[in-house]
Amino acid sequence: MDNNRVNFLLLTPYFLRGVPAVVLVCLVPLLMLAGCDFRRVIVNHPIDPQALETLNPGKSSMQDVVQALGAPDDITASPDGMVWRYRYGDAKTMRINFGWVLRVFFPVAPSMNLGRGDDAPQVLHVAMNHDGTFAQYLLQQPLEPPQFSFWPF
Amino acid sequence: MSLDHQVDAHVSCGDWLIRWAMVGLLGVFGGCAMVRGEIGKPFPEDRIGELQKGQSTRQDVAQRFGAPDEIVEANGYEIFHYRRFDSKFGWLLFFSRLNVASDNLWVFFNEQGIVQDVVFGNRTDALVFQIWPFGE
Repeated sequence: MDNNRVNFLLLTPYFLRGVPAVVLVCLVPLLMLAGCDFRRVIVNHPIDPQALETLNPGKSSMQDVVQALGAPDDITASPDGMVWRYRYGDAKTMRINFGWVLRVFFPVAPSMNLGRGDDAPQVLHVAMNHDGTFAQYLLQQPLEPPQFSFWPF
Repeated sequence: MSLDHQVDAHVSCGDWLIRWAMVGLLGVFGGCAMVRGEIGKPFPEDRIGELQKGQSTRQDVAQRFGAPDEIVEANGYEIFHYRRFDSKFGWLLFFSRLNVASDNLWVFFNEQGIVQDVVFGNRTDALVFQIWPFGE
């Protein structure tokens, strides 16, 4: 047996000897990620600003609006007619359980979590005239998309 | 005992331990899940097509779709609102993603209670199970 192999075997914990290197390489990131948690919640589809450009104030009908944007999530009365609202939401949550590492050493490991959630809602208000034609729109967009981050401070 | 024999003994012992370690790791990591949640039943589009503008009444609408989830008054219309929600949740180890979408049916009635307009949007058809939380 050559010296390199002997050195490798002596450095490897006895219970991992014989495990293919590929398996070990895959297990390391899995073990590192085991205390992590990435979650995402998406509500509805993103609002396409280009679809709004197809609408002509005073000309486009309700059905034209529906064709471009779909049915609204909400309708409310307004002094000039009504307002249709469309909503889209994207929320990202990340959490790391630093207590997870203790599972290796102790039968009971405490949870020591750091986590953070970031939400970026998008709301489109479409004003309709009394005659049912499209009047104008207002798109509330988040300043930046949500990010995964575990640091809550 | 030579070094080769010592190594072989450790490997056979290691094989046994590895199997149990793998089972333990699977337990630690959890597993996977695909969960679906629906509120309301899909709107049959043929029933929506049966609504006749200028002819169908509130009663006709209620017979096909039941009582509305909400009634809104706006722009001189009385509007029946029907909603349906669908959600698909995928989870694998440390990653999960929940996609939620809604279908909305709005039926506009004039002062005589006759259907003036029908607005329907289906978002749930395009809803998919996803696990990967990154990207789009």
